[in-house]
Amino acid sequence: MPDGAASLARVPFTMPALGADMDEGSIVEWLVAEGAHVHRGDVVAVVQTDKNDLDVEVFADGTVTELVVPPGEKVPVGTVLAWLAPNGAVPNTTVASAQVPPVSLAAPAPEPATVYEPTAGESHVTSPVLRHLAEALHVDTAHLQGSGRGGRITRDDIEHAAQPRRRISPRARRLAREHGVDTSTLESGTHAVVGEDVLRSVSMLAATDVRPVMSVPAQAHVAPRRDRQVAAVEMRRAISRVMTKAWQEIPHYQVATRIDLQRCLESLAALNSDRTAATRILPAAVFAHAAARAATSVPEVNGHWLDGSFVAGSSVHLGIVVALRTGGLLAPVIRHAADKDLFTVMDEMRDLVTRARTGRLRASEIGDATITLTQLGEGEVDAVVPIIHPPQVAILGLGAIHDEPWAHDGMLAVRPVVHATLCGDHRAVDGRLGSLFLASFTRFLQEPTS
Amino acid sequence: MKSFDPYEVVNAALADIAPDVDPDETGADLHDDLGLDSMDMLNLAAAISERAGIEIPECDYPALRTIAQLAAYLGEHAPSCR
Repeated sequence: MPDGAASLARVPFTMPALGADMDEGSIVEWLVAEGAHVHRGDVVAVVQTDKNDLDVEVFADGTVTELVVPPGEKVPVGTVLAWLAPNGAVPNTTVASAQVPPVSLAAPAPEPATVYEPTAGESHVTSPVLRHLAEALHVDTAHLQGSGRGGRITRDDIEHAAQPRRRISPRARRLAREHGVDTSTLESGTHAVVGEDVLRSVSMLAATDVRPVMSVPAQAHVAPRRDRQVAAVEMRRAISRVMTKAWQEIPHYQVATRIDLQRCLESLAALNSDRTAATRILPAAVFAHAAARAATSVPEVNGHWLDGSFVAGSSVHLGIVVALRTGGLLAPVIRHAADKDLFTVMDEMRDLVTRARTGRLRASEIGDATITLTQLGEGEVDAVVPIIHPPQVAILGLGAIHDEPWAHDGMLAVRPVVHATLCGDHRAVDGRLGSLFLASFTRFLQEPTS
Repeated sequence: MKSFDPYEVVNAALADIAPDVDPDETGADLHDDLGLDSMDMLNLAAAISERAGIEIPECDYPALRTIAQLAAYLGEHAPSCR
């Protein structure tokens, strides 16, 4: 195998964008060592963002050849954190540790002005070793600007040139930054990456299946987490940023209704009568399940407002707002929530809420929600008018279940009631559809176990 | 059968599902004072049931609102905590 072929095959593991507002992050701890074999979906690192610490998965099978970024160092999104040799490739440590400038999305390189066109030119490479390397990496040295002494082409120049280089339109760059898309993963055929490629990727990301999960040895998780107060301050800042943006940019409208839950809660009590604590269904899950199904019947509220137009979600990925006792909140996502039955929704919700509160969410479990549900179901609050989480176009807010006087068949009764408020982005969806959503939500609540 | 301190069982379960809650607050209301919601309470009941090897029937939940009440309940009902 020619020297350098392994570096061609190696795969970068980059700092992911864990949310639309994340610019940089740092490794809290590596959960793998160099030489470790990893599989797609394995958690390999804990990454600290300004919101939270998250377990981050790898998206390729292979061997970790190099951990580039040490724990504690803050780096921009897109920075290469580690290199992997895909299965089948023989890791060549000499080449793998060569100094390759990390690819960084947050600080994009200047727009390449030209497309490489192979022409018959004299090679400026004198060293047979480097010529060999250039051949192996399919680098056309005739068009390379040498950075060595006297403009000579160096090993670095060749390896750098071998990095996949593509033209990316300024709009695509901006959209990628806004939506946290890694442009190196975009498919654009042979053309330059344009805005549509990014938008397609965002909607595809939202449709991505639940990724396989690897169990991480328990001791890998006992490493000290950063100071809680610092984390709380940073989360506050992040919430402030996102909510200010949402409030300033999104023309919110609200539609609200009161829902009689008598029948719903009776069905639920019957369902729970012979269930143990571990399998009991809570009203919170019934609400989530009904909200997801209502989003299917009114798809106009389910999706993203991207670059001036609505992109419908290809599935319902329901964000669940979890308030943390230490302050702040997180919104983990139940993916394909409308395709799951009530029991699965309950299981996933329990798991997500618990791990949100114990600081054990995975990176793939936040972000990409197509609609969000917030419930203030436990306190004294009757109703909540929430703020939309961009780029989503709707959020459903539920107050606490409480008894209220209720007119029924010309008589006054007392019923358990919940106040539901749908906030919609008026740029994307009108109030009529918001009320259709609430009507549908109400209907699904009447038959919670159907 | 090995015997467990009921407080240890409750605190271990609590540490799993709500590590931010102070286990010394044995008399505080888990819901009203310590901020556990229904999902947390359900998780806590499930975790305690599993650790103590007993099932806590739903009708007993209303009387189990503090760490002390949970520990006393285990001492009374769980063979492994006697």
